Amino acid sequence: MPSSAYFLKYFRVADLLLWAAAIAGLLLLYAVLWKPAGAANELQVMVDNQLLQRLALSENQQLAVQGKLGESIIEVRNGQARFVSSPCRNQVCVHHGWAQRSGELLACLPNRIALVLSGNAAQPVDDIDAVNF
Amino acid sequence: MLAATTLRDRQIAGFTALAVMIHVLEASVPSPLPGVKPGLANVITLVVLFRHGWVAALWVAGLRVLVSSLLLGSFMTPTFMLSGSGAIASMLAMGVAYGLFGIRHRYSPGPMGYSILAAWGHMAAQLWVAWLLFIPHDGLWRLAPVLLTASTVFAAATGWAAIKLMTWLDERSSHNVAVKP
Repeated sequence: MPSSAYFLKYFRVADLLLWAAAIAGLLLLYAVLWKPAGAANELQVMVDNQLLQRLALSENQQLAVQGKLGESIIEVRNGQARFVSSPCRNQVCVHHGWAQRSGELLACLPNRIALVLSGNAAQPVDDIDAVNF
Repeated sequence: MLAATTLRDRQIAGFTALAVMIHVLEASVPSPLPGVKPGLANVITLVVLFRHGWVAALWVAGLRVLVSSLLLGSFMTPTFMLSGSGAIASMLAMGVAYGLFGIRHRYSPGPMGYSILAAWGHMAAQLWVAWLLFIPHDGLWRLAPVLLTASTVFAAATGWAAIKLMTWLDERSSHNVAVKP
């Protein structure tokens, strides 16, 4: 008995259908889940995992937030947000700079303050291709 | 006193031993991406499914996950829960196809089809359990396409290896051929 006769019997029409469905599903998932993040319109200020307040990113302002170590200064300008200063040692939060996209997160871990940007998920932004940390 | 064992018990034990060996060897190979590994022990699951039926395959897959976790020291850890939920879901996915379409009909899926069903069932359950228990952040879903791509590639490799192995076995056992040409 030639081995190819056994070998080919294990490939069926249903396999083709299942694989076509899997590849179509994969492409669909990339299309649905890998949409670029839109510009944010809201800022949530979290202190020690508790929501302190929500700010509209459209209103330019500076805000002093009391954390575990002391006061952090947060600035909102032109739909962006940043840490201006913070009493922490490494200043990672300040060096992070401006954040503007929905889903972005700025955090000062020593001072237990986190800024979460949210909203406007559908609106695409094409000025930045990728963000890497 | 020895417990009475049937031929089927001993076959399941033998296949489980093979699958455990592959699982443990694979666990010692570092992965470039956390959460991505080939899952080649499922070659044994597929071969058992085609030659001994779904119930035997369920035993082999379940025992393999349990025994491997005991050997690797990951029993009841997140790794075990992900591995276990994946095994349960993939066996369910294959079980539904097995109940509806079987393995011997013209319209039945072959190992390639069962492999992709199992891989997607496995990954879907793992992502869901990971999201439910360990990483309840919606950002996890952005990993889904990448993980499913890896899982699809490995499903092809697993299905292919299972076909090669079964062809090899068929050539050597003319009396007990799962699928006659």
